[in-house]
Amino acid sequence: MNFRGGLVLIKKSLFGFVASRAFFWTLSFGWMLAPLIYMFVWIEASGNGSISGYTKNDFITYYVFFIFVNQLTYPTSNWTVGDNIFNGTFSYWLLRPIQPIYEAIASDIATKVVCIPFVAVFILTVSIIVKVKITLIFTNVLIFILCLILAQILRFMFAYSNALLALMTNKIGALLSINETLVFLLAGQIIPTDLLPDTIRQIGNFLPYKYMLGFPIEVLLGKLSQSQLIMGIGIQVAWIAGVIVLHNFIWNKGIKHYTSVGG
Amino acid sequence: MRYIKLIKRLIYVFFKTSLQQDISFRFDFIVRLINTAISLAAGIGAIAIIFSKTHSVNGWDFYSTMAVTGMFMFIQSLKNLFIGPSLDSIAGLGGELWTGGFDFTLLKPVPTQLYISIRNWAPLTLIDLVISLIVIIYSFVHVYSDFSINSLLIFIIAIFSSLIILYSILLILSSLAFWYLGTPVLWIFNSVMETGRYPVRVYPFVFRFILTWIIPVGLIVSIPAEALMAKADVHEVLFGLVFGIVSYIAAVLFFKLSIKKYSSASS
Repeated sequence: MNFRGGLVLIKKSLFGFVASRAFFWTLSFGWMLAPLIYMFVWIEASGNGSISGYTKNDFITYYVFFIFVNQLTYPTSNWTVGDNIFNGTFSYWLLRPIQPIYEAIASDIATKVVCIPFVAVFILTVSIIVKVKITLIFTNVLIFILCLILAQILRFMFAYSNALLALMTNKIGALLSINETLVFLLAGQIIPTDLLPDTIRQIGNFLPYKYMLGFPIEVLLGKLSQSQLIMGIGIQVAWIAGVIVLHNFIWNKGIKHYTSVGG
Repeated sequence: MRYIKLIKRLIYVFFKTSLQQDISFRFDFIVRLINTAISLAAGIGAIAIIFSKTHSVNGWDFYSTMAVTGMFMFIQSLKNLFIGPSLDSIAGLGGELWTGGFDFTLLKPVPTQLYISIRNWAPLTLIDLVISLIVIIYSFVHVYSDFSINSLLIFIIAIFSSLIILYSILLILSSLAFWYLGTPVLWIFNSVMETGRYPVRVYPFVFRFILTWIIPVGLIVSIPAEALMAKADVHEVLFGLVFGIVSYIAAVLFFKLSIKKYSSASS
């Protein structure tokens, strides 16, 4: 473990990324537009009434926070890691006296910092266009911050572990896409997770996807009872532990299997 | 005639090499098949979930929304089959304009625009194409409409202009990379294309305006879908055709102009 090296790496990535910020803004534009589409669909669908207890304003608030949380938790380095293993650049990372995961963490943090101004303007504009009205409770905000950090760790580690499978299979893009589709379906982008049809919702409660994205937002909006809240955080922590074990397993196996390509 | 023969042979060769590349990574190949199934489930599932909570969204019911999504999938898979990957190999990230490989492309004894439009294929997308056709037919059967020869004609015009518009926009955006290599503008377009998944009329006024006039996702996806259900306005369809022809001419001219701007790049 080499934290100082990690910090330097984060700084390096940040400077590099700031230089090409337009590129990252383009990327984040795509991530923010997708939930926005569903916001509009639900605004139109709910009209003046309500759908399973969600009024028009509930949907608006939900999706504004969704865009925000999605932006903060969205991992990007998993794609780079997958590509780098495929084209052989990963070998350089291995040669450094620092774990390759720092490289991934650094670029993820840097991406998020670089996008802040663009995201802020985007969310503000959307909020003004759809006339959002938000009321929050202080304790909920505190618990939300905790859940958000846990969600970030979970989503990052899950995607990163998936990408490491490329050490064995060379190419991994398709698996990463599946991961994204499942997040999109089960984590609350199409519809807030507690409005999902019953069977899917119950299965979703035990899969990791909801805890990467939808769960923190529900905490923030105060949609959960105390027992649901405690159980949710429990499952979140359990999945993080599970994913870390999985990561170590894949890493140990994969690194022995890895044969560098390219030159 | 010789030109068409040449195109046929080129397509055959490019398709074959792309397929060989694809199936050489077996694990990824299989996972991609699964991915296709899951994406389909997610696309249809999203509509099913929305309409399990409500009966109509701004006058669109389940099947007519599904027809729009089917049309979206059809056009998207046509784009991803060859136009997308081909143009991406030039203007995309790390494409030939970045590496300087475009030198060799210019030297090829084939019309450059033709070559860069068909040279990379994603053979697996053919599955998406078939699936999208099934979705379109399935929803078409369920939407009651009096479909006649007339509406068939309108539909053919609509889909023809939609494809021309799409190609022209992609060509213009790729040509932009000759002038300003930095932002992947194609990505912005792809993100905006996603809005075509649902009828453009669902969106609020500002966005509907943008999606009709500035980035014509409405012309590309919604109007062919409406034409299929015999709901389209004939004037809109004809306008689309004119728009398509004009944008095609503009795109070709702009591409020719942009090529002159190319100043190579190398390590």
